[in-house]
Amino acid sequence: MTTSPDHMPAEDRAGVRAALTRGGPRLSLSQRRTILGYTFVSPFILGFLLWFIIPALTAVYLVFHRWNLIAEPRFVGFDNILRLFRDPLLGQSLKATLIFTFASVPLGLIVSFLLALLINTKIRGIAIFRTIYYLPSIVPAVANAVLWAWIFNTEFGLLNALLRGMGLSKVRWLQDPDWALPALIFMSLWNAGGAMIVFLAGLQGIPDILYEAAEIDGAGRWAKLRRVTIPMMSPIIFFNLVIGLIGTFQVFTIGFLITDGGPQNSTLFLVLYIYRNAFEYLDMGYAATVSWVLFFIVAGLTLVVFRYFGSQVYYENE
Amino acid sequence: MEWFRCACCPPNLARLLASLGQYFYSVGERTVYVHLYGQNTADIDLEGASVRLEQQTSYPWDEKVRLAVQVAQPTRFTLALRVPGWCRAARLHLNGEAIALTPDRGYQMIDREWHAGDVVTLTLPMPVERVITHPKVRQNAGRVALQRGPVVYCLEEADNGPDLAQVVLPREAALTATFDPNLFGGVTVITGEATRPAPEDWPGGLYQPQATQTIAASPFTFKAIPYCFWANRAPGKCACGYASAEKSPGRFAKGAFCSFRQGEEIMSRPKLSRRDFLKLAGASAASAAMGPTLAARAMALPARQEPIEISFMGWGGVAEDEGVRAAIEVFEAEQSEVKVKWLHTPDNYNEKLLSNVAAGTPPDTAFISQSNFRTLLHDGLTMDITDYVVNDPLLSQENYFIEPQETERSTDDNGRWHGIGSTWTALHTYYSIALFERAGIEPPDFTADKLWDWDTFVEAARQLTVDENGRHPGEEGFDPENVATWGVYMDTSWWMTYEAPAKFNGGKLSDQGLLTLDEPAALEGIQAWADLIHVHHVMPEAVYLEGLGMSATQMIETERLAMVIDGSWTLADVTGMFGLFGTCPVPLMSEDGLDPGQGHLHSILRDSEKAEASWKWLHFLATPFYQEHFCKLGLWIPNQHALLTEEAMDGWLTDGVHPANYREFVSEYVPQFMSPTIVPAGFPRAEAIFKPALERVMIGDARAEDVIPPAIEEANAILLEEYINA
Repeated sequence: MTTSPDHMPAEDRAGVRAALTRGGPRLSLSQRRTILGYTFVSPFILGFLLWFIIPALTAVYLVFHRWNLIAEPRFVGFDNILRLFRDPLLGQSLKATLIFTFASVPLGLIVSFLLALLINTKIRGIAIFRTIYYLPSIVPAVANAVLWAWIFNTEFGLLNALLRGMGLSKVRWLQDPDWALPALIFMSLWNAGGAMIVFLAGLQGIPDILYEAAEIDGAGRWAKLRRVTIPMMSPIIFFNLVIGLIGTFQVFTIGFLITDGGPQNSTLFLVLYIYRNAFEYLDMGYAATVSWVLFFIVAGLTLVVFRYFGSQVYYENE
Repeated sequence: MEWFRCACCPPNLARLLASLGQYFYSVGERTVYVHLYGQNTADIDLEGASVRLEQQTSYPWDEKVRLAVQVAQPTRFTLALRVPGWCRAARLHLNGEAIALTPDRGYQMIDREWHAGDVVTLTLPMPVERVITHPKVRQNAGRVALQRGPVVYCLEEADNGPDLAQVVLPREAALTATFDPNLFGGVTVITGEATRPAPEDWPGGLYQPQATQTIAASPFTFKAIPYCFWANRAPGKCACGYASAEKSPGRFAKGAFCSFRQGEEIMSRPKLSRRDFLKLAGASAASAAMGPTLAARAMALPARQEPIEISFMGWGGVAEDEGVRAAIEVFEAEQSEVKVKWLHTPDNYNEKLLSNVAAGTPPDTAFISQSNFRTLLHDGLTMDITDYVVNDPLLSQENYFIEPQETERSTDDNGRWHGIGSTWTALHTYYSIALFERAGIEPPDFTADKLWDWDTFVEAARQLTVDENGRHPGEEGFDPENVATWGVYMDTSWWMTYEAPAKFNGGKLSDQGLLTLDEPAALEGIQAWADLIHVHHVMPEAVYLEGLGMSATQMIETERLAMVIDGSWTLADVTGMFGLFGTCPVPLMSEDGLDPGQGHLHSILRDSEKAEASWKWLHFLATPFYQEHFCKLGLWIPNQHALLTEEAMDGWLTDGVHPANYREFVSEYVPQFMSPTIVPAGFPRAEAIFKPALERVMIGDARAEDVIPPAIEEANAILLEEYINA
């Protein structure tokens, strides 16, 4: 016997009905179902309202106000928006963020895709290799920062030791404004494991019959990759691209922990700049305004990506 | 004569006397203001017309002031006479005719055409007044002071014998003012009948049942002299408030509770013992020295009230956390009215404090970093506590804090107090004793005449810097890439050390809310420090230390570095390594060179509804007891004179924590050379703008005078727009 109300014994059904109608008018079955349905989705709705809609509306309100957390918010009209246009640090932080995004997202996609191909082979102990490649992604950000600060260390770091071994002069990876951002981009590849796992899942979802058919048609390894794997993977690649783009625009931790925005503001990422405005300069209004700038950039870029790359994506069941 | 440790009063007195004449009159638009009265003649230039004013009076002993006006031609102007606030029945006559007094903001205006020989007579009647304090001021409850005219009177031991705090002035006692031409060159004294308690056969001990004791009031004739003349005959105590027996004699004890011995404390400035201090602060009923008083008071107390709990938010490591907890314990044991809840917040302090404020649950009292103080003050977070500070019998004492530094950092531009400094810390040099001995260099001392000048310092650093081949900078073949021991290091990457190179050379971080690192002295100082790296090769770059992963003091320990300029708080980290480290002053680069100082402040937050209770706690934190705890650890140096007496220093300077020359450092060098780093409101945003320029100078990429002025200008534009003009 199932336990849905319709198939309950009569006395149980009466109990449920009594419970649902206690103190109120009798409800029809569909009304009851509606209430139950909304009750079940209410955690999401509440969360969505509390953690998304209300903060977003507050951010809209703050764009037009000056608020330092201490005094009451003061209406300032379009002041915060006008400030965007004469803020030298906003330009710098946009530049740093865009360079970081446009370098690290494609690089990250390529590296994680190649890694996924690499660990998609059927050899003994492959699970160990998969674990090893994925491990860096679960290392806490702070531990990561300490590790890389050592790798980039000018005097005693691993990278400079390699350079010295090749007879090259040392590079001040994190102290030279020209090198700090490339160093962080390089470092971001360390976390390719997350995307790699998604790619791996995608690769394993490609039916073997497609490869068999291609082989029968005389396709080599390259042709199989080009004509089967990549088209079949295109939804996954697209997914990773969009997620990577959105995530990378919000890069914060490494700039905060490793370089603190420096040297000479070369790694002052947009979110770090928002954070500083909010919690160091006590300027919630302007921080909210810059947040909206970030939102529109990310939304705009995502739209562009959907328009130009979306048509290239092959969906099997369309 | 004993010299004052802080040589501030004697020159100030000399200055006052020299400029006294300027304080008498001032001239406005066709108006002559008379501010002070006293025998004098003044020639005043009033928009071309010359006016002579002659005052004939023996004010403040006599009530009459005769003011004669002499003009070449009849001149129309306003004569504004100050009508003193103490005077309740002033009278005015012009050429013998009475004028009704209608003072405007304390000044009586007489606007007329003045002729030569016009005479104004101002009569300021001077009965002896008994002055009382607002009844809520516990320390003064039941006490009166005597005042005649503008002069406050006191009883001195020389006239009245000991135990002045016990003197009771009956309400009906007649008070007679007589002029004594032989005393102090002629002053008016007040005499009258008063009593003092004379316990019969006190069996001994502090407490006795009241029923068994008869305490008679023994009458005597007292003589009060002007307060300003006390301690001119012989060392002795004085009292300027006396118990006033208003009710039945059985309740005499009420007023005697408060001991007015503060005069003695100021002048000889002994170490305040815990008990003395409490008496002075009136902090606790339990600390009252007089047994009968305590008994009487305890009976009079209403039903015990629930204590008020206030919260106190602060950061700090283990040592600070323990210190605050210990302080709370003592504070709560001493009084039962206020309890303190300690919100220890070691990380992200500022964010958490402000989040609490934004959430509507601000703490009542909190640590405020000196770097954030003016920003938060500007934003209205801190409460104006000026009234508490200036009316506090302990903290308002002229030499309580090391001044002017305390006022400079704790008050806003209008002189309003928004916090009280917890402590001072300053920069000094830690050096390797071994390396100095080997190089045969004698370190400088903390006394003013033994400080190093810049050239001596650079030369010492040069001698101490050695490359792998044993060569010094400036010698043939010196290899700056492979240095075995560096001469000196100073981290220049945060607000106190942005200022340091500038301040050593007489510059400073900011003035009037704007950054001033672009002024010549500051630029020169900053460039000189960059030159230590790139020209003299005696200082490693910051990258080098970061790379090494060693703190500067660890580098000294391993003899990779000879000197480091670091905060005095670092002493707590090198405790027990005195064979290795010595301390000496920073090199001051010019005559005006100073040493930056800082320490967090304790503030009451604006929204606190428990201001009174919060003040009690803040007051407690400003006492020697709390600070001494941290001084002993080497973390702090005192900001109050009570901890700088020889006796007090014996108490907290600790073998194994403080080097032998720390006595001179804290008591001579700091009061003289330490000047607080004033961080302007809005600094964090400005810092993001100018820091890159500073970094470029320090890595040798640009010269200070080329890149710092434009960066400071840009940063100041933001400060102006967002903070000064906002």
